[in-house]
Amino acid sequence: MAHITLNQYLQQALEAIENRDGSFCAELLSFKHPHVANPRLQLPSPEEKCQQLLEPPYDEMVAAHLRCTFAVSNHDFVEAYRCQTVVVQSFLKAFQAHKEENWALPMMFAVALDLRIFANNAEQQLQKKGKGKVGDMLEKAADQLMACFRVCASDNRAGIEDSKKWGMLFLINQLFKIYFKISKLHLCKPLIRAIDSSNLKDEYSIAQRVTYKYYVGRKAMFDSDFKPAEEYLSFAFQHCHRSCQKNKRMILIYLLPVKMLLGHMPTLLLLKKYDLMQFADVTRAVSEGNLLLLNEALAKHETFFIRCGIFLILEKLKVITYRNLFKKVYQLLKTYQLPLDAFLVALKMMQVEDVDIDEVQCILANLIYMGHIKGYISHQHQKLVVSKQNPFPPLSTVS
Amino acid sequence: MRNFIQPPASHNSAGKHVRESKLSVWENANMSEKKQTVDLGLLEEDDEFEEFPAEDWTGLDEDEDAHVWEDNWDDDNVEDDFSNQLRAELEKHGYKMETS
Repeated sequence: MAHITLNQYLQQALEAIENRDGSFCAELLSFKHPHVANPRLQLPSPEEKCQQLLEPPYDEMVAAHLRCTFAVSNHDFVEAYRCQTVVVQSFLKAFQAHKEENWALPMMFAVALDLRIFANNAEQQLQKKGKGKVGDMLEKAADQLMACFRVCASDNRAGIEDSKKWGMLFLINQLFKIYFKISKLHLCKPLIRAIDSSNLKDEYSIAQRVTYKYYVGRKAMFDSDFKPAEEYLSFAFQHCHRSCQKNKRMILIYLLPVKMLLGHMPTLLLLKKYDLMQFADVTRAVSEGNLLLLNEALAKHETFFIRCGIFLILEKLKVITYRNLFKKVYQLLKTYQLPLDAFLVALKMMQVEDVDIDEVQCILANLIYMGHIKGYISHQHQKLVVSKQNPFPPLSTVS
Repeated sequence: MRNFIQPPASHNSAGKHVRESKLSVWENANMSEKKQTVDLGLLEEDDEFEEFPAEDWTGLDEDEDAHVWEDNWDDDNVEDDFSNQLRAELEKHGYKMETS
């Protein structure tokens, strides 16, 4: 591949297409493949040669791909992105014309992935020069991927083996990556609905399913649906390939706050293994009911938590921490009628600013409302009266 | 002569045509050219979920990670340092507590 001529390359492409060898053709179009570094193929105007050997729209598709390798060799990612949009457009024309066959799916995966990556690179390049609106190119790339998605989703005629529906989850994952990046999570909804109602949902490859669950898990977390979030992220974490430590770590970053909100604390061993010791003090603080330590831990690693987009979720752990602190007061005083003042003592020990009995009542009322405490406030006696049965229900039963 | 038969389907089968990257086939390619491919700056950003190198794998390729979540922290245990601190503070404010 390193030394072949343009003619040889085009011959291989022609054969691949004629033989419906989607996988090999995909390699000939993919930037993961070494042919893109071959200077004989990096051409600014290969149209004529392509037209001589290939039928439309493949001639246009391959020509645009070669122009793309030329642009990339010049580090011009904006031009590369433009070329790639032509590649995808031409591919889609061919793909739509394939009736009841899906041999070209590997090609679609290759060109779709490169489209998103070039959109990323192009935006970065423009931003360095102070030009270009953030998200512009990614949004346009998303539009093109949606066009591909529609072709796949609407394939109702072919039998399962030949269905283009096998392409849906891969595209959804690419779209998720874009929507998360440009913070347009609401656009994920119709895609999630499409997969949920698909009979292929559990048949896609494990790689695609793990990626999918990672993103829907994050979305559920963002929507405060913590139980589903736990389910999705746990699946992703459990089934992620063991050699993809980076991905495992990323899943864990979002699984941790969700698990903690549901009352499950990570072991130190887990945090050490995945280099997430930033959560160590948070975990300890929450499980102890130590509000002071929690505030310190959040402040200490604020930058990290904000960058990961979990700072606000971690703030919700304050509620759990109040619950744990007050539960300790109950356990220490060993009575069902707890003076409000005792909670005030606890909060003052935690250096909570400007706290008074009114504030205590407010916090207690909230905890009762949320189901974290079973009881009521007796204003006459200035006491919290708790249920004799299970006054502090387990966290996993609450949310 | 290239083998034009469909590549073997992954063990989990029907209809999945994506096979693993054949980069190993190109091991004959010049090392510097391979490096150049990487230098073409096509790596994903650091904080993005990465594309997996393979499509399918079995449980053998998954980490066990058993017993990593604890619930026993919520048991009725008030003997830790923080609880002792709280106990002392309550006592200071006149609350009498039975020793357990």
